[in-house]
Amino acid sequence: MIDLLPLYLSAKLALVTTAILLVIGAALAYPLAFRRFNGKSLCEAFINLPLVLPPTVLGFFLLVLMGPRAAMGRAWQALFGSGLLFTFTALVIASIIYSLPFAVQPMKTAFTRIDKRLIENAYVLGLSPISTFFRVILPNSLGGIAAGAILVFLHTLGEFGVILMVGGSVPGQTKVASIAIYEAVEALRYHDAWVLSALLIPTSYVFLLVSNKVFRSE
Amino acid sequence: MSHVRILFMFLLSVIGSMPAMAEDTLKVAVAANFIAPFEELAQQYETKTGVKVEATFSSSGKLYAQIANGAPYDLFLSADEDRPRKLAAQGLSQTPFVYARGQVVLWTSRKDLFSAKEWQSIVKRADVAKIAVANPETAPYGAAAKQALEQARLWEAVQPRLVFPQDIAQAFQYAITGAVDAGFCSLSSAFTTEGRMGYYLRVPQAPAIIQAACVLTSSPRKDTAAAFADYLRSKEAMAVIMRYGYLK
Amino acid sequence: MGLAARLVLPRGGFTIDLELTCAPGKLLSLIGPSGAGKTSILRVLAGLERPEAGHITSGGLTWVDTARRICLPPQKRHLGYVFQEFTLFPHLTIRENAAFAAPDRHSADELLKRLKIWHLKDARPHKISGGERQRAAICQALARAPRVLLLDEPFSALDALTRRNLREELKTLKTELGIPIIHVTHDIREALYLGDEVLPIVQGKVAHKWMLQFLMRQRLSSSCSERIDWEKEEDFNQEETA
Repeated sequence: MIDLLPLYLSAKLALVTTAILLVIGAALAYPLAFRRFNGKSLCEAFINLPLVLPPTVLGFFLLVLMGPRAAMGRAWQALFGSGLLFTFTALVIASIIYSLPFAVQPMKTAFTRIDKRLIENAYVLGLSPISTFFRVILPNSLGGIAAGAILVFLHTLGEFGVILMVGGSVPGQTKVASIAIYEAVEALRYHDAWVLSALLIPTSYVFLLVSNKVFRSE
Repeated sequence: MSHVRILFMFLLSVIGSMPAMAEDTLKVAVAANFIAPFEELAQQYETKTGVKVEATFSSSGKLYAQIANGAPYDLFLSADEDRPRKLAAQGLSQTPFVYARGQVVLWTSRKDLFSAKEWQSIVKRADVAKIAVANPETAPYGAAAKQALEQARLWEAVQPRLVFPQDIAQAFQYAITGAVDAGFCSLSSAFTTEGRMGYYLRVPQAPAIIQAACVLTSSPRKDTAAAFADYLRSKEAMAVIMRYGYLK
Repeated sequence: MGLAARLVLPRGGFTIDLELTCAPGKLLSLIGPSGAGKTSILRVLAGLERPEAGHITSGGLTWVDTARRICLPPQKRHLGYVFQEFTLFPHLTIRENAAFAAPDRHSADELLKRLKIWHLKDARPHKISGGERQRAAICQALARAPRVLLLDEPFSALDALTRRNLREELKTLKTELGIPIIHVTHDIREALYLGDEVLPIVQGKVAHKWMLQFLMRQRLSSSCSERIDWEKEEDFNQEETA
């Protein structure tokens, strides 16, 4: 019987990353869409870095950053008593950075498409900028939010190079489907590799269906 | 001329001008753990005979899959005996021969562990939170480490603290960056410059890693390949290999 | 007490510099060629832009006093603003739009009935006509009983018949509401019809002389087109008249 735990881990990682990135992405997309400030293009370029860095480079960078010798790794150790590397949390952090531009860009585009007058009208009608964000901007950006969610989910499902570096392939914790498939091929268990790969497709499909239902505009 | 056409011509000329491989260049698929000794051996061989040796380094598993699917190598230096045997059974290679024997050691960068006398004592310590074992299914060194742990009756107990890098090189990388407190690595990695900055203990319970090589039947230059294979088993080659932490 | 404003705001090639007042229950029409700064003036009144210098009060409350560094945000000015388009929120129904800032649903519903679009209450803005949308926009603006109403070319995108109907509505509303209404338009007949006072604005300054000359030209010409030929205005002096 083939071990399906990696599939469950992949789906869990993708869902958690998508949920967190929708919030972080919106928070970053808002100033990029609506505010002018010094160093704005520098910020954007920085956010887009994961797009151009090879995954293994990013993975190695994160390995060092989350390791016990760097500030972040040490802080984690001090706070929680155990290392950050090779845990599910490490994968979530890595996935968030890896897929960040896929969340920020579509949302920023959706935000900038909203006619400024709608936002100004909201202000005139007495809404604070935060209320305007939730009651006017978000409801009118559902297309961009959906696009971001789908991109992040699928991108995380297929994530390999980064996870290879910081995951450590711990069964039940960080051995996600992509790693399991890779190992199956390496171990000449081609049948297992096929089955896991085939099962990834319905996982993606279900998510696409669900997000279309949730975000589809009338 | 339009810009598109100029670009196209440029690309064609770049692709077309790739240097043609010398007829005599040997293409060798080499297991990743053998990079360092192999580079020296190839250099020595070229100086001696003028034959160029070109190596591709990767995991034995990947190289096997490539060869089984027709990759054009002349020789395959695996990290185990199993894969060359499989190739021979399928008629894809000539009779395999052993070219090196590797040894598993436990390596650590943690200075407070430098005084340990036995590898088991390091593994048993509660403050050794993460230990790297290369994937036992695919990495021969990992499989040997697992055997040692089982023999020492530590395999079950140590499970929650184990991390499984894909190969022995990654295990060593985890160990030198401190990502793990200790890692089961090859003796040859302990001999490297980075390796010397740490501390290692031999793991006698781990069987020696018998690394076998074979000449591939699809090779268009089997004679040249066979000559190199002989060289690998020569006294001077063995001297080099042993210097890198392998046994014969 | 009404609205009283004095403001200075640099624009592309000129500076807006003028004073205006509007008593409660009265409508002030701002007319002039496009690019004259009329919309900018409304935006400053609404708090969407900051003047370089200025003093704006409404019903005794100070909205802007640059000398004392006071500039209330739009949220605190309690006004209504109707744009030419994109006032209504596309993701809400007409009824939800009208009730958006209203203290209760009832006042919004009453307005919808008053402006004869109650039957469209569950429709989305993009599904109804331009004229109906502007009616809904007016409902939205009025539902919270604003202290001042600003209208920025509210009927320009509509056909002649709809424009006429809405003009009538506005005229009736004016007396009912009892608040100052500032209305920007490029249609001089509309300005004269609706406005208790008309302020011609050319290049950011009040230009009565221009207006007089313009009217005289209109009377002399035989055509009665709604659209006015603005190119000729550069022949005229920009001199201020009291």
